[in-house]
Order: sequence, then C-alpha cells, then structure tokens
Amino acid sequence: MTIPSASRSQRWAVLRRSATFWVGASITLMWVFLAIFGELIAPFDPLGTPQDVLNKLDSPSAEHWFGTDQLGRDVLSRVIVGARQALTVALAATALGTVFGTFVGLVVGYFGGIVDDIIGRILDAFLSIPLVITAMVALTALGPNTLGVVIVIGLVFTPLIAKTVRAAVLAERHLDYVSAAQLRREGPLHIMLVEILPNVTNVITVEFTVRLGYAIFTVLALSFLGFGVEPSVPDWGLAIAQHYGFLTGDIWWPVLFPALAIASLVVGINLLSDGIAQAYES
Amino acid sequence: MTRFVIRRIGLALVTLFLLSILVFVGTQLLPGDVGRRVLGPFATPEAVDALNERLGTDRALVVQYGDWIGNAVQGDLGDSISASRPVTELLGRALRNSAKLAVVSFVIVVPLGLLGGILAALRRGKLTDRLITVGGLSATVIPEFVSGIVLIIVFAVWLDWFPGTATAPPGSGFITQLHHLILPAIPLVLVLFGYIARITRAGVIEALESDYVRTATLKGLPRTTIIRREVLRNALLPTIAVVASQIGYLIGGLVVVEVLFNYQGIGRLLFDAAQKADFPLLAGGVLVVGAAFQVTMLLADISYSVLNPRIRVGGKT
Amino acid sequence: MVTTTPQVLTVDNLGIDYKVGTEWKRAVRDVSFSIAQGESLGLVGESGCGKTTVAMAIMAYLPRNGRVGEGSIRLGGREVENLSASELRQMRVNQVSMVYQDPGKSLNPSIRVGRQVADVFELMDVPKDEWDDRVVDILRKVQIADPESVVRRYPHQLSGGMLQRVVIAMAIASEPELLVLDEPTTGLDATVEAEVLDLISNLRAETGTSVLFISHSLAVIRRMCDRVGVLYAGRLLAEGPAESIFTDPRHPYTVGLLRSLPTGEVSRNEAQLDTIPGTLPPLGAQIQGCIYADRCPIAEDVCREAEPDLLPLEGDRFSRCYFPERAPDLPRVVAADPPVRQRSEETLLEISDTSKTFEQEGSPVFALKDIDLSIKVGETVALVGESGSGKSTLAKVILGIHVPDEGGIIELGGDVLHDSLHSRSGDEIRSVQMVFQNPDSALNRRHSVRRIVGRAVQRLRGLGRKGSNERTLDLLTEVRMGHQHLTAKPSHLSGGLKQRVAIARAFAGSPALVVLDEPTSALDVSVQAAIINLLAELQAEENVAYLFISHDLNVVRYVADRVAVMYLGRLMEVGTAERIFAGPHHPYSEALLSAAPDREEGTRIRLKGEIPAASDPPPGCPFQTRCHRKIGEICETVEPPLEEVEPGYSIRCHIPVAELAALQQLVPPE
Repeated sequence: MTIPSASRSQRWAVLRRSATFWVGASITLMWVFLAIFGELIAPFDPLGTPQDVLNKLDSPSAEHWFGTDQLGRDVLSRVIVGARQALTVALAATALGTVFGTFVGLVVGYFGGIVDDIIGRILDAFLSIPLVITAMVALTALGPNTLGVVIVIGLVFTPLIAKTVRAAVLAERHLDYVSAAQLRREGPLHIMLVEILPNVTNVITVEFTVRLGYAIFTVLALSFLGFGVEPSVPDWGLAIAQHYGFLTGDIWWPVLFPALAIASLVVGINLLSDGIAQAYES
Repeated sequence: MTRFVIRRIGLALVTLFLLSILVFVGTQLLPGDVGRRVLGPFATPEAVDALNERLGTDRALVVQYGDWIGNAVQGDLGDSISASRPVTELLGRALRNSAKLAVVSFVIVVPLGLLGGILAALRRGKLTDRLITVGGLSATVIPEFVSGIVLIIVFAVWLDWFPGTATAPPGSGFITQLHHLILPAIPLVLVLFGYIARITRAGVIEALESDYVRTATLKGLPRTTIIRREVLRNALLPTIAVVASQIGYLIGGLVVVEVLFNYQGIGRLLFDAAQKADFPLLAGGVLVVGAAFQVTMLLADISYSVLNPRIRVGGKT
Repeated sequence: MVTTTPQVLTVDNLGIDYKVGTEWKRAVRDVSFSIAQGESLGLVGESGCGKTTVAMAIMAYLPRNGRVGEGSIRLGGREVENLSASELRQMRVNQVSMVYQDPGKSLNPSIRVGRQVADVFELMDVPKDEWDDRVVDILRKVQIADPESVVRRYPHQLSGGMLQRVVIAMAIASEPELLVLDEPTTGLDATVEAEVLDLISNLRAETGTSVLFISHSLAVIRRMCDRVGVLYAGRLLAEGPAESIFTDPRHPYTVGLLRSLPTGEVSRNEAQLDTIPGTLPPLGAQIQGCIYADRCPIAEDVCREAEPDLLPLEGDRFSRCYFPERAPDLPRVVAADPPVRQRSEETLLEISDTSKTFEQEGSPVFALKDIDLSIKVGETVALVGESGSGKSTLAKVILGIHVPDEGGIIELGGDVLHDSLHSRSGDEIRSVQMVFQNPDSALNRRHSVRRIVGRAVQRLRGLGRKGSNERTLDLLTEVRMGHQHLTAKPSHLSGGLKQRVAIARAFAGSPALVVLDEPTSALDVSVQAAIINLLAELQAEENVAYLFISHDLNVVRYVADRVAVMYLGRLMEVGTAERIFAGPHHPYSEALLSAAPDREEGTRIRLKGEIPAASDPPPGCPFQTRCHRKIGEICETVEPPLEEVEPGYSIRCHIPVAELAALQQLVPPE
C-alpha cells in the first residue's frame, strides 16, 4: 500500500513543529531586521566620528560593550549593521546564480544529448577550480568591487545550481506529460517554462536556501581576504581581517564578536534551510 | 570496464583542455593590459610595452595560448613576475606544504565523517542523529576564518596549547610540525565533517530501506552482518567520489586557512599572487589546482568502477 | 495457552496504523484469518486495501511509520509481537520466508548470487563444505539451467525471471512452515509469470509448505490458492474456499469485482462491463457502518448504522455483509447494452515497410522491423506482445515522436504523414493522439484540469480562451466529469478520474486515431471496467479508431476488432480477434495464450530460454531460439515473411496453417 505523501498543509505542520526551523528563522530574521534598521538601534555611529581615535582598541566596558576597534569605533555598533553588506551581496549573488542556473539547467536537461555533453564539460571545467580561487582570480583581473563579487559568485553558482536543476529536469523530462505537450505542438520554451519549471520549483527553493548559506560563507571569506569591500564599510569579514594581527597582543574583542556574529548568521540560515528541506522530504 | 576507464580518461582530458582555456581567459584576457596592471598607472608607456613584450602579452591570443599550454605540458609555467623565479619551483614548495596540511585534515575528517554519518543513519530520527546532522551542517557553513579565529583566541591566545601559526621553525621534526598543523586543520575538518557525514548518512539510509536489506533481514541474517555486508558495502561505495570531490573545496579552504595561520602553502601563494597581480604565477597555480582536482576525481571514479561489480563485470551475458 | 491446532499462522483482530504527517491513522482494521498446515491462503484486493501491510506485519517488518495497533499474529503458536530480537531472527531463519515483487531489487547488487543463497545454509548451521553443493541443488530445484555458472554471477547479470527463481530458492531452502508471496509475478512478462507460478505450485505439492499469497490479480489468486480472503480498505470483507468465492460470491464487493473483469467470453460488441460506483475511502477515514455501504447497490439503512461482523455462511465461508444471500443478484450498475457502433471498411492508417533502428553505444538496436499494418476508420486494433517486443516504439513512430528509418511510409486517410512531429501539420497532429499508461506521469501535477484540457483544446482546435472553456466543459461531460473538477489538480483526483482527464485531452481535437498505451494497466479492476466502457462509448460516438496496446489478453479479447502480435520488433500474426484467439495460432501466440493464469493447468507451453536482445537478433526466424514447434534448419536460416494466408489473416511462420491446426489439437510436446 502506498502511503500518501505529505500535502502542503502537512508540510507546514512538519515545519511548524520543527525546532531547528524556528531557531533558524528567528536568528535569520533578527539579522535581516538589524541589516535594515541597524543604524536606529546601534548605540554609536557605526562609521565612527573624528573623536573616536582617542579611544582606540578599548577593551569591553559599560560604555562599549564589545570594546572599540583600531580606529576607536564602537565594535557593537559595527557588528549590528555589519550584516547588511554580507546579506545584500549574498542575496543578490544567489538570486543571479539561481536565475541563470535554472535557465541553464532547464535547457541542458530538456535538450539533453550533445547540448548536455558540451555544457556539462564546460561546467565541470569551471567547477574544478575552488570558488574562492575563481573569485580571487576574477576580482584580481577585473579589479575588486562589490558588484564584481556579486557577478563572480553568481556566475560560479550558475553551474552548481544548473547541475541540480538539470537532474530534476531529467527526472521530469521522461514523464509523459512532456510527450503530451509535444503531441499538441508546444514549443520547447513553453514546455520548459510552463510545463517543467513548476514541477521543479521545490528543488530550486531548497537549492536557493542552501546556496544562500554558501554565498554568505564566500562573501565573508572574500572580504576577509580583502576582495570586494571598501575599507570603511562595516563588514564582519573585513573587521576580522583588519584586526586579527592584534591577537598576539591579546586584543581579541574586535575579532571575536564579528566572528560570533558570522557564525550565528550562517548557522541560522542553515537551520532554516534544513527545516525547509526536511519539510519537502517528509 | 576497460572501455569505461578509457572513456573516463578521455573525458578528463577534454575537461582539462577546457579548464586551461578558462584559466587562460581569466588570467591573460580579463586583465586587459597586463603590463599596465602590473606596473600601475604611473609607469611610462615604454616600460609597460617593454614588460608586455617580455611577457609576450603583445602577441595574438591564439599564439599566446598555444605557447603557454605547450610549455605547460612540458612542465614550464613561465616565471613569476613578483619573485622572478620559475613558477614551477614556487608551486612545488607550496604544494608540498599544502599537502601536509591536507593530509592531516583528511586523516582526521574522513574516518570521523564516515563514522558520524553511519551512526546518524543507524540512529535515524533519534537525538544522536539530530546532533550529528544539525551540528555537522552548522559546522559546514561556518567559514574557516571564523572557526579559525575562535580556535586561535581560545587555544593559542588564552590557553596557549597550540602555536598560533602553522609554520614550524625550519628543521623541525615530525611531531613539532604536526603540533603546528593541528589547529589549522580543524577549521577544514569542521567544514568537511558535516558534508561527508551527510552524504554517508543518506547512502546508509538508502541502503537500509532497500529491498535487498529487507531480503537479508527476512532471511534472518544478524543485524551486524547486515550492516557490515549489505549496508556499508553498498552505501560507502558512492561516498568515495564525494570525499574525492571535497579535494576541490579543500584547496579553496586552504587559501583562507593558510592566510590566517600564515602558512606558505598553495593557497597563500595564490593569495599573494593575486594581491601582487602576478598573472603568470596565478595562471600556473590555478591550472595545477584544477588539474590536481581532475586527477583526483579520475582516480576516484576508476576505483569506484573497480569496486562496483555492475561496471566491473558488465551487463547480462 | 496450549495450542494443539495444526494452524501455522493465526491472525486475530489485527489492526495496523500508519503515521501520516503527525497523526496515526488506522489502515488495517479487524483482520482475522488462519492458515493450516499445507494450506494456501490468498489475500486479494485493489491497491490501498492493505494486503502488503498485513504481510509485512506478519514478517514483523512494517515500515518505520507503521505499527501494529491491536490484535495478534501467531506463527507456529508464538506471538510475533512478543519475540525477542534473536527469537525473531530464528523465526525468519527457520519458520517463515518471503518473496516479493521486483526481484531486480531484492538481491544485493554487489554480492555474487551463490554467496547470497549460501547465507541461508550458513544460518541453518549447515557445515561450510556442504554449502556449494546445497546451493547448486536448491537452484536446480527452482529449475535454473546451469546453476554452477549462475552462482558466480552478480544479480544485474540475470533476467527478472531468473532472479525471482533465485529469491524463491532462498525462501524455500530452509523448508519453512510458511511462505509469504507478495505479488511474486507482478511486473514479469506473461510467459515468465506462468513459469514462476507453475514452479511455486510444483514446489508446494512437493514440500507441503503453507502459503500466504498476496495479489491484486483475481485470476492468479484463483489458480494458486485453496482459500481466499478479500480485502477492501483494510477490512476483510469475505473469506472462504477459492472455488466458491469466485463461482458463487456472497459479498457485493466480490460480485462487483468479478463482474468488472473481462473474462474473455464476451466482447464489447455484446455487452458493457459492469462497474463499481464511487471510490475507495481515504486512509484512516472514520466511517460509521459498513465500509462498503457507500458504493454498494443493495445497501440499506442498517448498513450505514453499524458495521456487520464477518458472518459465517454455509460451506465454511464468511462474509462481512448483512445480506449475503442478495449478493449474487446484485443489480447492474451499468446497463448491459453496448453502444451502437458504425463500422466502416475504409482504411484510415496504413503502415508499410516501416522499421526503426536505434543506436546504442555505437551498435544498432532493431526496435521495429518491416512493419505492415492497417487500421480502418472506427476500428480497434490491439497490439500484443511482451516487454521489448516493440509495441511502444511502433506507437511512437505512428505519433511522430520517433522518426522511422528511411523507406517507411505511414499514410493517414490516403495522405502520407510527415514522419516527425516538427514537420507534421496542425491537422496531422490533431488527428493522431495518445492516452498514456500512467496518468500520474501523463498529467502535469502542477496544472489544473481546466488548464490541462483547455490548453489542448486551444492548441489542437485553434480556439481562443472563451471558446476553449466551453469545449473543455463539453469534453469533461463526455468523459463523465463535470465543472466541479475544473479547478482540481491531478493529485486531488482518483486514478480513474485522472485517466478520464487524459482521455478528454486526447479527444480535444476530435482525433481520427487514438493510440492507447496500456490505458488501464495502472488502474484497479473496478476502475478499469469503467474506463474500458468509456472508451467504447467514445468510439461509438466519435467513430474514432484505436490502436490499443495491452498485455492483458482478456482485455484485448474484450475490446479488439483485430489483433496484431509482436515479437522482437516484428509482427508475427495479424487477424481478427476471433481468428487470433480461436486458432490455429502462431507458435508464439500459442505460448502467450497458454500463459494466462486462468488457463487450465497442464496445457501450458514452456518456452525455452530468454527473449533475445534486439541488438543481437537470432538469424532466421526471430522466434526460433525459443520456439517449441521449430521444424529444422530452415527456421534458423530463413526468416519467414508475414504472409496473408487467409483473407484478413497474416502469419509469419514456416509451418503451413493447416499443419499448425493439426499440431495444436495435440498435447504440446514437452
């Protein structure tokens, strides 16, 4: 006997009872909120004021809970608004990669054969270089800037997402509704976008949330390596890069707090996407 | 099977060729005027032209590519601009160092990841499973420099158990080198653990739910035999390829870890090359990294086919 | 408690629950039966009735989201629920074995077959040096030719029929008291199924093992079992000796099931099939009264108030019905009168010299070879043959999905059809449409019924949105659906309704020919009857021709005007349905017909060997490697042509028809 698979409402029921989903959603929403309204909440100006230089690298105190950085700016305030850079860049890059990847995956999966072989090879070649290195090379060649980071990560995600979408499309491709559409003379574009695409949106949703996590990971790694962020922008990766040299002097606060912020954001997004994936699976 | 192996090697060669084009485009075409990029905006046009001539970047692209790849195949990747030494020499030393770090990481993470995945699958839905799955996945998404920073703060700065740098003093023995490499290996281990554990868990669960495990169970085979012979044998096979594919990630992770722990490996070398716009070094390094990845995948696929009777013995007779 | 009864298995008041989402729902309720020493009990029912669930509970191997909610299962006098892990293991080693569907997945892909069979002897503590001999012996017992070489093979190197024999060998090796067979032949080809069923019967006669046989097929159950239990929505509705259950049923559900089954005696020109109205209640539905009352033509108020018990009747049988005596005279749901058809002698489709060769890893696969076939206006031609015979390829060539090899010509209404979909005109495409086997695959699950049918109307009729809405509703009415279904997605429809939507879509452009690719094989018996009736009615109304692909010979006999038998990409025999079924037959058709499970035992023709690969067809007659009537060298060297030997009857065989007629009066040679 076949057990009916979970409907949308049952999926929601699973999601509602999933502790990881709620924890992940709360953390993520908190950072999204801070990214948007951070300035209103931050106790000090995150960009700093000219007087700040007087209290460089102060350890955590009642006034500066997280201490101050090498320019005397309040670490807490910079942590609060620091999510904005990472989140917007990652979101834009993931969206770009998802749109391109979905399209490439649809084309490759639908046409198969020689198209699949050729594009498959190119994607493989692309994927044999680690993302961070590809980004580094491209940003070196193009010159470092935020838009460049978005485009590079988006382009590198394209083959990754295309691979997943292709697999899903291949499974759909052999279903008879595709033949039925051909039997009423639908064009390839109609079949890909109207017939197949709605059936692979689950896969794309899950892929998007997973990739978003990796995008944040990569954006921060790049800003840590000094690619793509203006030195004055409050950014967690950059903050760590600028201050980890002070660790030997036992000055840990400008580094540890951004690090914890990063950890909480990526773990939060990960728990959220894990919850969503679980709900689709069950 | 010979047919499969030949086909697979052919594919790898095609991919390598495409890779070399990508690298060429990324390092020689995208930068535009290489001489200007290297010397900066204040250099005289004559100096820029001279450098371009020395580097050969003033020639037709096809000629440049043919020259570059022709030499590369013979083991000559040109000279580094910043260090004025052969790229291969720089790469050789860096690769040796990175290999040490990679081996330490893999030796720790592979058994741990497999064990974690198997354990999670066998205790599916229970607390152990959730801890391994959620914990592993969370560890996977934390960037290496974040976990690395926390490790340095706790174990090097506060507790002073491990050195905060990965580079052991010259002439150090095996134990000292290992002592320096443990802390940098952990961020890589953390990222890889969740991934390997998750793939292993999925494979084991699929096998556990298969019809042949049902047959074995209903035959009355003891549970331990079933897990060892029916489940693991079939479930671990595909994880070979997955573990191998992580070599690619690992090299990317090395960039960050080697910069953070100040270690002269391939990642650090590429990072420095990028900072100094040393395109010949960058091109050679990326090509070698990509080739290493392709070779690893090739070896993994071949060993998979050797171990899998479906490919080894072929179809119906 | 002391048990002195010879019952091998006793199931008492069994209730089984499944967890759906977050709640436990009862899927099986109050099921009781027992199996005596040497007896075989069949459990029969449509999909979702819980038959496999019951079997898995007996094996103590319910899925993770299943549990025994109440009742007891006693095997050899011991309660299965109470066994410790090691006792359970011992029980599986010695007392009970199971064989199930899909033998291709039942064996470990990375261990040699011999080793997997040897496990059983190891578990029985047979000394190691005897294993090899015992394995070969047991494989020989399940009639595997050359067992010495089979033991060294891996599962993927064996055919489905061979694998199922290996699984059966493992199951009987320990001489268990009870053998549980769960759809052991479903998915196998007819001739292979027949062999496996024969094997099981012989082994039973030899060993006296008790059997629990689970199947959706009434014919298979009838052939294999002493007693039968009829399951419906997790309840046992009737139980009794097989003969009386099938010849003198006393539950309205059993009566309905039997009536909806084409028997091969009546054709669609004589009477419509009767059907069962309504649909199966959903899993775990709380229903007051009889679970079947909603669909029962003789249900009264009492039926809806309290559920009847499984009441004993004369002749050692039981029926869960208040009015078992009324069941045999159940009023028909569907009038018997068949719809009136117009017949025509005009040729609609003419296929000549059509072949199709695929490339597979550089070598050619001859999927179709020299097909000549015609279909008249309004006619039903059935295409019969086992898997790999080329039925579906032929259908796809006609539809234009595959392009035939150079030289093949397909004419529709006298005009040559363009060979690929891309080159066909709108009119050509509209004229030839298809209904697929599995509606779950054929309907886009994200689109509503309105969209699925409406889009076809727009494309095939060239209608705008407004006109298409009207026509869509008309089409739905024609397939006995209504506007309430317009917004439904396929997942909200039953299997029968989904297939109706697919039929409506195929009829959107008033086609001249519809290819029906096993249109009922994914459906339950009661639903199948309604779909067959519907197709017959539509044909009468629209005067459309059908190419009906099926492996079910009883269905073919019921629906077809003419039959074409395929083997290895060739037509072996083409003729009117009466002629093909009456004989004299082509030797292959003869074997195929004799394989039907409802045929008398002892008349079965056993074919040698396996179907050859289409990439490597044998020289001479394609059937010569397996033919039981081979006459000699000519069969191996010369391929016989498809010759019209009687008006409207063609055959591809070296043996003259008169001789075949004489031969087939005799008992077939061993």
